[in-house]
Amino acid sequence: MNHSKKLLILIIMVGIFIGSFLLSAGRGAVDISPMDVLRAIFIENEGTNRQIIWNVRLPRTLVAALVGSGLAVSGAILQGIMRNPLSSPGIIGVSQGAGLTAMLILVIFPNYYYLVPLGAFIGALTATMFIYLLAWKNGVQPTRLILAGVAVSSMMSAGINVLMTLFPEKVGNSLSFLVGGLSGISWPQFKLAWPYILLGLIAALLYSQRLNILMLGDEVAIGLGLKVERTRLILIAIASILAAAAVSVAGILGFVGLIVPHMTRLFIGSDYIYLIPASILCGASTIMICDTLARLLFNPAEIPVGIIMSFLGAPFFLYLLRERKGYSI
Amino acid sequence: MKTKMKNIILYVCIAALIISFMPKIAEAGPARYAVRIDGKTHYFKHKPIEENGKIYVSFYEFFKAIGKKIRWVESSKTITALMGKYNITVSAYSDIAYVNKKSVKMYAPAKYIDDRVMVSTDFLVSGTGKKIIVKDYEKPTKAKTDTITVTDALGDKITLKKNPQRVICLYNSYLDLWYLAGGTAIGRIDNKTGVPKGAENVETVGTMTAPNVEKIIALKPDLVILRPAMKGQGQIIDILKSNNIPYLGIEYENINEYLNAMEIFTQLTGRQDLYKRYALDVKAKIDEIIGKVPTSRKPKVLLMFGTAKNVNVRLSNSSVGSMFKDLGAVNIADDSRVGNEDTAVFSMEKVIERDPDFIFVQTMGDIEQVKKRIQKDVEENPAWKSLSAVKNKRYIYLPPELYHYKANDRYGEAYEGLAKILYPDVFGN
Repeated sequence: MNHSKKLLILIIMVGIFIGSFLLSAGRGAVDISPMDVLRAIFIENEGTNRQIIWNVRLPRTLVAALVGSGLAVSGAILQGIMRNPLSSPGIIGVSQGAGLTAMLILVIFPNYYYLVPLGAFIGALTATMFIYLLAWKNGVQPTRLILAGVAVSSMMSAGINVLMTLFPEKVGNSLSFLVGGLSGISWPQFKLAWPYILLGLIAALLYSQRLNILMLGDEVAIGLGLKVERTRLILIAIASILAAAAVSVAGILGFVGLIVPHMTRLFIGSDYIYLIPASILCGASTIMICDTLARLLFNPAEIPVGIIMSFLGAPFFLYLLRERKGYSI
Repeated sequence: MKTKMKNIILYVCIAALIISFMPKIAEAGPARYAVRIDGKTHYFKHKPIEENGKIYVSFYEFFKAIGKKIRWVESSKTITALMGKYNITVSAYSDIAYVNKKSVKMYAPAKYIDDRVMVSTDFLVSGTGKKIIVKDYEKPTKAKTDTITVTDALGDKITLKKNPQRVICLYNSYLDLWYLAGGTAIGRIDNKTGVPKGAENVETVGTMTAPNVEKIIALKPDLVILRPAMKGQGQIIDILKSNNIPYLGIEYENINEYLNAMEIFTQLTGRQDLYKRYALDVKAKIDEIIGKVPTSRKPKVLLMFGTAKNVNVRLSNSSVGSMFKDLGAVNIADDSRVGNEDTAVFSMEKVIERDPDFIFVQTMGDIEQVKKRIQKDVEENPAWKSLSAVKNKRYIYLPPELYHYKANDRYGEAYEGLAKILYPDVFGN
């Protein structure tokens, strides 16, 4: 694939992104015509339509895009630095770290429920640091890193299960966090997440060339003058900040961080210069489309967006995997 | 020849059909059981019986005696008395009767004995207003008084010994109910909330979702009261069965199920007086409250649980949801029901569109401590702020002791509390 072809694919992805955005903002539980949607955004200042579009649908669509791009890029980075196609924020324990702290707060200190986003953020970063320290032995080797991640992840899951067993009555509050979803999102959640995710995405774009070099293996990378350990640490930090910010507003969404980067690679190849922007666009489009379905399928009831993603995304991914032979990360 | 056979078969079929749709004709035998209805003595062919302190008479013979027509449907064992202005329909074994097509819960389910639907005289008195005195009835035999037969939450008919002395209860709301019914326990689950007075020092046998089976068996209980739908509790039934430990599965969400549970418990303890105090009197109070509800208003309510972070709603088939339904309020999220669940995640857009008059929030924690914070959350969230219920300070937290845990004997209070909020002008505040 040459440069212009990849650029074309990126442009198509931008088109899909814009399409998903319009779909997500235009369709919802309450039927509002496209003209009224535009009026609600640009002209009206009050009224039911304005409230629905401006205070519910728009922030929710934007948060969906942020969360999707954050998780997808986080997964793409982790798969790169660990050189393992199975790594993702959900599998190496970053999400579980966030889940455990969120649940600790909700179950044991329910009066401080408002600290959940912050707690989830700290939990995710702590889990990452923990994994990194466990894997450290004269530098970090990718295989050791992912094994440490899996171990920490199962420890965190065990912690969550302990809380569920000991405080069965109080678990109800925290289940929606563990399943993940975008119900009840409005501007406060958007304000909470956007600085971190924007920062993370920009940093990921800046580091994409170095990620390419890191993919060549540590020895080659050192030979090319890359400070391997430092680069890896910074990339892990970027990945976990993105995942932590996403998890703190939307709860644990498993599928995006694992599958979307692969899906994107199948379209555009493994060059991180293209892969990072493409992951941003694909991740955002995936969650925006799936969340629209989650809101519409059982209207007026909503189902968690994670369920839709797994039901539709997994078969689609398997189809891609069979069609594009010779795929490797 | 062939056609003749065909005709005979046809006639037989028609005759069978007619017979099956005909009202049951009393079998031969003298009518000798005296039943006085409004001062006039009638003689019934079918012997009235007593069970659990209630007297049952034949539905058919009673309505025949007072001169009403009767319709019988064999397939469903359903019998209907045509009262002129309205009909009364009862099915064998069912505790739901239909009076004027509206379903009515009977405190004692109809029985089916010797091809007869038998109902309690209490039901007939309340359904027809007649005075009934049954002089001659079959008294329960000695062996029968030691046990009661009930339909448990799993739909199984189970026979339990009366006056159990070594009871373990795996659900604290039921334990409270059991103590109200005059029972005592030797085992409960490890949980601080909802433990009734007198049961604080009772031995604990694990947690609600993970009861300790070994400890339960070691305590040699003569009855285990549990909640089959609760994770971890339904599974231990098989173990109890194989150890010959009697168990009773109870599920209750609404007032009728509460009354039913109270009836079973007081039958076990033999305390009819407590049944009157905690069931019939409570029911009477609730009926009085419902009677005063202005039917024309139908306030729109949204019933949520947890915080405003997610739009988790409870529907009309939930415990508190059924109270709102009884009180004439409309749950704006009811069309989001999928299957039998009593909860759903509801669309925020629809909340804004339908703009409820009241938003009620069920919490399980100490709301006083978090109230300010939740209030701030709601008022800072532009989506919630725009709702008239929030603007008019009709965003109301329900105290957990009445509306999260089972209200039990305070059921009347629970109804009254909601009625006062919904209709302050009628119920005073």
